[in-house]
Amino acid sequence: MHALPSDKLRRRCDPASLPFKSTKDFKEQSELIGQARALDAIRLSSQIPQRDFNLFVAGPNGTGRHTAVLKLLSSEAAKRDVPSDWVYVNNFESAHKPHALCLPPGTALALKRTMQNLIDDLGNDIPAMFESEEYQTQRRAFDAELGEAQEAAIADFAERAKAEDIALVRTPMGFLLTAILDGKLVKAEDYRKLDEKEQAEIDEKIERLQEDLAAVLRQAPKFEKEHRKRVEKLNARMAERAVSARVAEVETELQDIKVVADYLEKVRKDIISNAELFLQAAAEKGEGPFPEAIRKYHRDPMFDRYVVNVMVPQDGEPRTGAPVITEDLPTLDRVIGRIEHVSHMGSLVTNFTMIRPGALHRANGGYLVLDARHLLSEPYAWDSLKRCIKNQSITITSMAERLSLVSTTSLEPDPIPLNLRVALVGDRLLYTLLVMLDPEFSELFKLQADFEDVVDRTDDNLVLFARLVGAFALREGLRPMTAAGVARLLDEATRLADDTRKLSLRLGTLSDFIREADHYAAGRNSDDIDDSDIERAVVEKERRSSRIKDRMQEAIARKTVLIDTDGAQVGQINGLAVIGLGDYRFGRPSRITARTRMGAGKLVDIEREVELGGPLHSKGVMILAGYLTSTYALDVPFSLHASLVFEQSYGGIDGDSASSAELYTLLSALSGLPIRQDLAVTGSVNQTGQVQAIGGVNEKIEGFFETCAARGLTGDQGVLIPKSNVEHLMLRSDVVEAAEAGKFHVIPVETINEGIAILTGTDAGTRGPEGTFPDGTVNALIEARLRSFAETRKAFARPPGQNNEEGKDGAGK
Amino acid sequence: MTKPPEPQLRLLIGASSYVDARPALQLAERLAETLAGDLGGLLIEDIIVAEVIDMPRQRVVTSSGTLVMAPTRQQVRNLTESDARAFRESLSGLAQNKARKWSFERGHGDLVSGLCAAATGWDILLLGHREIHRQAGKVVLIAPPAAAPQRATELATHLSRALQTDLIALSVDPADTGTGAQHDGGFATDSAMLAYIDRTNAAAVVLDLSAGPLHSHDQLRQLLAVARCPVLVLGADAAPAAEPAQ
Repeated sequence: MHALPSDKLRRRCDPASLPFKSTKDFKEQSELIGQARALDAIRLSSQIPQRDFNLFVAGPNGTGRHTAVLKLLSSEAAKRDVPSDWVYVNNFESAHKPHALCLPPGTALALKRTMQNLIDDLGNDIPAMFESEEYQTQRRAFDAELGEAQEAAIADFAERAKAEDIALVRTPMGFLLTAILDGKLVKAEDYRKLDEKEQAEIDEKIERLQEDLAAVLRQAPKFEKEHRKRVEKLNARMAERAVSARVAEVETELQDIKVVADYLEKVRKDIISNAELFLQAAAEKGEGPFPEAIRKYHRDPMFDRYVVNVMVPQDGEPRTGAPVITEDLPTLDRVIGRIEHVSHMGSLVTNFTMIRPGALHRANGGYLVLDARHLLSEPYAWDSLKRCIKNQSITITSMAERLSLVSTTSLEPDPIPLNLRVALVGDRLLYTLLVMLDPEFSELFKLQADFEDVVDRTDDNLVLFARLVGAFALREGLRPMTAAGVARLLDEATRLADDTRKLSLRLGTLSDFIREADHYAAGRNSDDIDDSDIERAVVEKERRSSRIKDRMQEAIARKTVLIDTDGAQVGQINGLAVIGLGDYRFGRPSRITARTRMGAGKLVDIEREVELGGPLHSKGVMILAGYLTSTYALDVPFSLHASLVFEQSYGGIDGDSASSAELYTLLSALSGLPIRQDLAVTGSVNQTGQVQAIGGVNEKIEGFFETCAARGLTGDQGVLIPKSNVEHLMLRSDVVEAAEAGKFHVIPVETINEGIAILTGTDAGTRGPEGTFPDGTVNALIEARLRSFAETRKAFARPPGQNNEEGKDGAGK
Repeated sequence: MTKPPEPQLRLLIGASSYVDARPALQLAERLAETLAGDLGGLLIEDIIVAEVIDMPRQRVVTSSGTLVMAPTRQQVRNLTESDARAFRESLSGLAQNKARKWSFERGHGDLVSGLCAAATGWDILLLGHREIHRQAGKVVLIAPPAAAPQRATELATHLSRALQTDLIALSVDPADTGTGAQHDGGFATDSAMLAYIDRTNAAAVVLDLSAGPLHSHDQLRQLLAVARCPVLVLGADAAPAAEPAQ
């Protein structure tokens, strides 16, 4: 048995080897380390002008993806031009299709204020113009002319009627005409007394004059229409004087912008034709304490049609460069913008002033950084984002509209041209799924920035890593860290990487340690974070997370869960399992037993039979069956029936890391040789009997160590691990110290033969030139047992010479 | 604070149909704010309508200029009943709104004579006339001779203020021997004045029959025909049916 020396159990960084005393010695800002490939991809995406070179930043959480993306994109954005302002204005011809105006940077708010001032001014000017004596005189003249024209028409008719001795009689339904004879109205009975000629004359006159009267009365609407036109023209003339004067006062800088000039012309025409709005507003006198002259007419909803709805302003402090926008809650509305509605008389109504910008509007001309998982979990957000990128324009469509949930008035705003680069930050699984399941993804996101989660533990990287720590402490306002503290943190980074040759780049976890250590340093009034602070942070984190582990160990200590840590048993071994709860993992021993007998070559994996075993576990069991059949009693039928089980396992089991342990226990059961229970085993096995690397080796060793330590270390206890896992050892200090003291052993093995020899204390044996294993070896015993199973099985077979029918009858007996 | 005195003038509104009464009621509403006290309504079923409605091939010209067959007597009666109800309801609503006493009656016969006869005990008689067009006109005062009481002038002034419209005063001066054309509102004859009114867009005409220059029912009838708007009459109860022969 060759246990590993203690220096192989944990790689320690010597603080003296670090070229600094404290991270406060570092003045310069440090960059990410080991991410050159990913950073190059980000830079390419930020610089390349061609479309669709959007970026997917893949990698594990806490590797600094967001920070790196934002930093690089911000750096590139600063070199770019400030993008245009965008506003929505009313479409005076078709209000449900608002116009989008592209304005030079910084002019949107100026235009908005200009329009507000224009409306406020006209709110005073137009009513004053219409109240002027000039207007009132002209208006009275028009009204009088209309009234007199109508009266004249009636009077003319009355004169004609009178001239023809016809009178007008008013009735509830209208006017009757009747003849006058000798100064008196002709009644019906008088009429009948007249001769036919006189009657005919009267009839003819009445009929003709009835037509005339009808024509006169029908003229009234025509007169009124002409009058309205005259008044409208007069109103337009008056309004035009006021409006044109005020529009002409708009700053030259704005007037020189063609789209603004065109818009102002439309506004001018619209105000002239809707001047009554201003009269109406003036009629509704404000009741506030302020004089009417400073009334803010533009706030009145009736003037919403002249509002400039600023979607993207580039105002504020002097800005340079393009925007870099992040949206933490990338819902459909927040990404592409939304159209709000208000309830009015029980209906939902909207207009262009209720169009709200989304992240795409704000990021237009620059960069948009989104969390891929958040984006994909929001209904329709991903689909809409793709559509906008594909069409290179932002079209606002609400979810309700897409689902046809609400039937209400809506808008079709002009799409706003889109020119931006989108960076999605997500994990590799999402990237893979998107590539496989979404054919558009690869077209629209041509670049991938794949962040490493580990970096080589070289001397250079150790220093770079220390610089990173120093920069982080500086940025976060934490204490500087001593070289010893950095060294301890580096060791923890190595443990997180599960590899003594690597450093973990999961900066999130490491920075949590630093913050917590800073807190402990503050508690002991230290100006620096020391290794003791880091150690305490690690230990406290372990302690906070270890409740379930402690309960499991307690169950083992109290023999509720049966685990032997001394003695030897046939067909029984201590396997090791790792349990993960979020970012916390721990190991625990688990008893594996095997039972064998003569059979038809069946190996029963009880876990699989009851569907508690996962596919990888089943694969491992099948591999060891392959090992057995290809290693022993090759010249006789494989006549074994064996069963394997994880005792007291009530949950699912997966992975093949226990396959070597299962094989050892089978070999013990077959050979009848007991296995040492003071050893635990981990490692997978292949069909040739080689023991292969597994994950979580440190946690597994520590799990069995804790079980043994709880019962008292005997000095014989230890764990068999695959030799290829030696490089991954980064054990806790208490385990290393026990190993140093010879109280606990970590034993690397390469083959099953090597392992079974250690576990049984008996040489495994190698098949000799004559084809047999040496007597007394484990393998010889196993082969003899299997051969005896085959012989026994053969004895059950029907003696030769019996016919087939009898053979069939006797089958199974 | 002293409460303003209640208006005391009693106003009788008369018409032969509701369509004629409605503009008068609107005018009465304005007057009731400051001038009119008790309100009366009188719908007179004009006898002449029944007498000419039976003429063969008789047709009615509606206010919108449509020619329709004349109604039967029964239909006229039904319409009059309906008009009476509407008139009464409008009057009561107006009176309740202004907290005035009110009364309503129906009559039968000649409109002008009937109303003048019923005007006894009322201060003002308001003759209704339907709206021919919607253009607001002026208040026309038929000014009484200088020596006569000036109640009509005061009423017309008050009304023009209430309606926020112009007031024109017309008078007849027989001493004017010219062509009969208008000279600052003065006319040589009644007929010249009526011809002028015929072509004037009037919101209402105000006159005092007891003061002149128009005195008789016939003249009032002619005035109503040419004014084509509500006519406010003072001294209606003292008016003779016809101008005595000269």
